[in-house]
Amino acid sequence: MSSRFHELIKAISKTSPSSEYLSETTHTSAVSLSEWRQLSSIMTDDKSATDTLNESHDQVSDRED
Amino acid sequence: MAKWRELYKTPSDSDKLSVILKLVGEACNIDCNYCYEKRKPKTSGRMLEASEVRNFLTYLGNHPLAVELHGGEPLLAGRKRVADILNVLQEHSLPVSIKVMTNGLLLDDEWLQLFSNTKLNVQIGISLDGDPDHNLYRLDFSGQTTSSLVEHSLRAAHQLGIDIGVLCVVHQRNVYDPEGVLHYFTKFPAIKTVKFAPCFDYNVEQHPTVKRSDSTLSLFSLNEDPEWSISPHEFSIFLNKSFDIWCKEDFLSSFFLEPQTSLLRSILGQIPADCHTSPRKCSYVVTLYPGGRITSCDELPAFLSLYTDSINETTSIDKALIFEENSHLLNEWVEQVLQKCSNCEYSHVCRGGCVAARQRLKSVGKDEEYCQYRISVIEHLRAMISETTLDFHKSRG
Repeated sequence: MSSRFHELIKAISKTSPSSEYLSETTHTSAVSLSEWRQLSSIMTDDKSATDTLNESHDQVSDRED
Repeated sequence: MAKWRELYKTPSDSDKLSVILKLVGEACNIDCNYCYEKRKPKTSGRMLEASEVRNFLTYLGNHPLAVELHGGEPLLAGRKRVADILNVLQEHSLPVSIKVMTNGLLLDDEWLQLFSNTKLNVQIGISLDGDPDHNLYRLDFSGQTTSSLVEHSLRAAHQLGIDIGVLCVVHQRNVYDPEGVLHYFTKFPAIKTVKFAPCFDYNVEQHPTVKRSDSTLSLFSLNEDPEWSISPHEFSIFLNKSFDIWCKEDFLSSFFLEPQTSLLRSILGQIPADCHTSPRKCSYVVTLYPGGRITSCDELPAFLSLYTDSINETTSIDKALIFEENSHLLNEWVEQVLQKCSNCEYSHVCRGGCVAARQRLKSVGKDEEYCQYRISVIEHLRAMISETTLDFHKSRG
């Protein structure tokens, strides 16, 4: 299964929908762009944080080696 | 309070409303075979004036607004008129967000810059049903395909760094090819969301006052459903397969899918934006037509959704929205549809779906199939969440 999907689930769990996008009718796909921006941003931040942690871990491991 | 009432709330005085401005009524520069606006009685042919929108905002009072510029094709209103209307919306004392839903044929650099330069940050949705073969119900008045012009607009948006949400109607030309549909959309980096809307067009008729092309009329067979119509069961298979492909091919990095993302939110205990998966349904929707007619959601039958024929005849939108005035019929009708949800174990996740679609399906004995489609998609997503969580924990040892 896609690890990106897991990131998406985590990102959704971290948000609570704001009133900004609590009103989308069936007529438009445009407002889901707010959703995309919000969740993508969290997923990117999470990935950066994970990468940083992994890099730190690798550096520690290198030093220990 | 009856349990179904929790699935169909009515707005308080300060709740955000979804406002649909029909800038040009049902007028359009193309003639999609399945267009629901063109099946209704012909309207005035007028365009909305900025002054009408200003009066409308006064009428709406103290509600924050999520405005959708809609049609027909809203860009037919012209840049000057749309810019004037955007200026009026900008003057509203409470927060306003703006979306425009266009067929994309006229969406050139000037339009894109007009929308992106306004302080209101207009978000753009384009209707497109997949590749040129999937998109063959979207023809112009001479029967020619419209895909190449839409593709041009998507490329122009990308060059200007503007994100686009696609509204993809699912019908007989694309329902059996979710893979082809998704692969096609990945060719356009501007696309960030794809929303699937089903053509559950049972028991629909063409109103005789609106002229339709011979090709459209030929698709309405006597005593049969129109050629493009799909069943709820077909739609559930499409959604589940498209979701699997989206995960497997990592298209998630390109765009999000709806309604799946909203249903994921709902499964995870949140209330999503999408009205089908939220208790904020038709009573949160106010539609303004040229000439002052005000209705609820335009998916509803005209006799049910009318608040008033003239903006000057109704003194309070809040009374209309909570069914104190013309909309008592709608209230009774909604109750008939949603009562079934009171005993359903999925109601806290599904939240009732679309009442207009459900009533149409109920009239042809397919209301249970609609519920089964929602349950199938919810169960599919739940299984994916469980599998992913399990994989994650395994990978962590």
